[in-house]
Amino acid sequence: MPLTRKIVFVDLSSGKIRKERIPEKLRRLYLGGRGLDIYLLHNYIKPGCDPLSPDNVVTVSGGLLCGSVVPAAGRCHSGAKSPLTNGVGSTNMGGFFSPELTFAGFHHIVFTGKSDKPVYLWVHNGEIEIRDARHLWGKDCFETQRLIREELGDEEIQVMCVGPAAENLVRFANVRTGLKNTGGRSGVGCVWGSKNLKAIAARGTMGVSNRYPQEALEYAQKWQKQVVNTKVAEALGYDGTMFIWNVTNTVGLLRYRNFAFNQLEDWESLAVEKFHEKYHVGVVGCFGCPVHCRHQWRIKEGPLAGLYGEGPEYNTQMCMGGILGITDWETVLHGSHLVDKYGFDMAEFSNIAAWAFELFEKGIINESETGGLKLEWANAGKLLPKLLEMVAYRKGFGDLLAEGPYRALKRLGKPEAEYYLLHIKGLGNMLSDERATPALALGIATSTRGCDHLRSRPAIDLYHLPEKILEEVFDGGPMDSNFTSYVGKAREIWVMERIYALVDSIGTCKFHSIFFSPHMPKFEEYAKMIRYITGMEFTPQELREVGERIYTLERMFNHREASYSRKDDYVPERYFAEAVPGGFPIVKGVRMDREKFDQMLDEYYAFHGWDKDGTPTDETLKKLGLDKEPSHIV
Amino acid sequence: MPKILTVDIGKCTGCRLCEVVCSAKHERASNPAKARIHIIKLEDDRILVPVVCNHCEEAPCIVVCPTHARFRDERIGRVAVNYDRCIGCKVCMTVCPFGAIAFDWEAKRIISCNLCDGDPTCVKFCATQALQYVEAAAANQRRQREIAIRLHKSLQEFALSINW
Amino acid sequence: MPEEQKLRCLNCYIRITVPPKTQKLTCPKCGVEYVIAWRGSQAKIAGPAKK
Repeated sequence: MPLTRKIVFVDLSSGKIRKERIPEKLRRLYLGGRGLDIYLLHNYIKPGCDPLSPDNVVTVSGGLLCGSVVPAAGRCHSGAKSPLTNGVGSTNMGGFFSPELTFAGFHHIVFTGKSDKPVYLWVHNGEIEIRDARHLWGKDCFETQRLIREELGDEEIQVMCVGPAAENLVRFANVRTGLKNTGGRSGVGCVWGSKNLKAIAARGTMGVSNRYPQEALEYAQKWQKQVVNTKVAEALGYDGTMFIWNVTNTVGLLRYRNFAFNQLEDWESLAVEKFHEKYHVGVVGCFGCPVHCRHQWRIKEGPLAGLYGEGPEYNTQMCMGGILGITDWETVLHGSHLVDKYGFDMAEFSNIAAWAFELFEKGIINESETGGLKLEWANAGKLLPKLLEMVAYRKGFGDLLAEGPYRALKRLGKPEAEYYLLHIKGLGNMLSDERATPALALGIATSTRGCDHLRSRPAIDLYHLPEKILEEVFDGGPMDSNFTSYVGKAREIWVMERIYALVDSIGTCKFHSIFFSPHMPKFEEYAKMIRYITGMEFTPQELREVGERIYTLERMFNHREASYSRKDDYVPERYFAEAVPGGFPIVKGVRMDREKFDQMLDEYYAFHGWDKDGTPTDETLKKLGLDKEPSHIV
Repeated sequence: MPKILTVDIGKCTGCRLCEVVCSAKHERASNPAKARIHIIKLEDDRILVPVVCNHCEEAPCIVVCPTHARFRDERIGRVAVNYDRCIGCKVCMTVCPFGAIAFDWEAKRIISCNLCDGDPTCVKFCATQALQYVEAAAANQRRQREIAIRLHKSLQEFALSINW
Repeated sequence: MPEEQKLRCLNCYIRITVPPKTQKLTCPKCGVEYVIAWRGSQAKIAGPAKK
């Protein structure tokens, strides 16, 4: 029974371990996973603390339905106060770790304090042990997992760990499991490193029972059919997330050489077809997932022969490729391998490295600042492996890049440099150019993680769906089929935020939500699955409220810890100042419209019940039960 | 005609949903440790192999069973267990060439695939059809067709390349 | 007989019929040009045609 999974508090300073039941009241308010994690962060962090101090808190969790029969019930969440944004640090990864943690009896782990020497946690069938990790410190993300399995003598142990980047406090270090599953954004791995926490190993044989066993299995099968029968599941299963690139590059919705171009005209070299031809060797999936959107690749000839890995993603194509002006697959795959090895966010790296290249191009920095590195675009491919290593180990110019947007800017000390760095709230932008897509722009501007798409990206906004369908999917209107319109986009983001908050708290995958297809499971389906597996009754409306509560608490956390407000809910200045240079006529020449953006922001705040400055009103807080936070229920 | 459970290793993605639903079906709780099927993974070498009872025609586990608890049920074409006779000696576990018999430490009995009485749950959920439950005569038909198509394609390309 | 392939123009959103084995496709309404890739009998947009 999911509801019997426990929460464990591990104080790394004293070594004290405390196991607790999770009160049903908290489950009803937050479900689990990301939802319960923000509650725990908000309650346990010392307000105003330095993210790299022992007063920060790390949470690790599986969702409410983790390890159960619902397909793809294997996502893992980890949270902390972000060393990049000072606000919500929240990251989510696939793989097999959190189900194993669940089978070992736990849904949530909360780490407080700091260990005086490197340690890892060993969780097995209800037992928790803090073990010495000094022999693992310095080992990369692949070796660490292998060594722990050997040490503990069981090949079936799942390990979640950090790599050298976290140990060196690279501000965008990530958490890892498997060959490439990554909790990348917001620098949560860096906080692990600051606590001398190297890894968690889990192994369990305690089953997750179903409240209504027959109905649960039958409905799980229905759910699976609903998911795999969509066209997008087919595309994902064959091309992985790279199927998106063929569309977005064709229209011109991407960013190349930081922000110079929005479409790659010589696209054949970077297309997924080329990857299939030369490097693809198989397809794998995360725990319980019928979509299997992940490739396996191997380089068969040349200087990198023998190198293999999982992935790449659409993100990889651009972060190790297009954004840096790199268009050959071997460099991209090599880069992908290295970030998986060192353990840091390739999106954050790509954004800040591309910034440095543009500054160099424009003469704002030169070799004296870069320590002799010639950051010319034509060199980017050759420099990539070296730069990645320099960042992981904070060597030379890598030390500046490793600081992330806010601190890199401060250290560089050139006010004119800020204009070229695409970031929001101190988190860098990923691969999209959102100028012509107001919905996507609003999403990254208001995301509680900072400039990030996964709190709310409504990819279906790009499909030009009929207004009637959009109204149905997004609980009302008016809506506009056109992705360049500002009409109805605030509503889209508001609804998506709730859905993603739910998905991340239930513990399933966003690709099984209306991210890419309006036909995927939504509130009604979540309610049924929760009921059959746990017995908890939620109406679809109550689930909407849970999503709202989780998102609002994240907003409150940001307000308290980083004083974020309306002034921080804008896209970078470049979006308003520069027109889209190329691509299809529908996007070419478009700039973001400041007045319309403000109007959209007002609408968005109104939907949430926040005031004009983006602060939740007293009435809203009371309605969601957040007026008593922090409430310390557990 | 009895059906057989076929395993196409090349199609397995290692998602382990079969383990989850198998245990959920038999134990009313999802628990890979109690599943009758298990995916063995050696990630670095892309080894993903489902291991499950093959319902051998001349099953070693039947031969060694001291109480004749294990037997062939020809109705479904499976190896079955009569728990009234089983004494839990676990010798069947040690002789199974595939390690397909497990021991349920809580119920204190050996467990292995029983084909869900002729309606295997794992097959229903296997998204890539790595697991199939097909009529014995047709068991290798799909593989034959797949290979035939690939061979034909290769021969056509070869023919074109030498200008036949 | 394989289903007739139709693709939606990413610029103006009309549906365009794609004859079998088409490599280059021009939108009859807005004129943008595509390179088409085929996966079996299924057509998909691979990229923009070179200018």
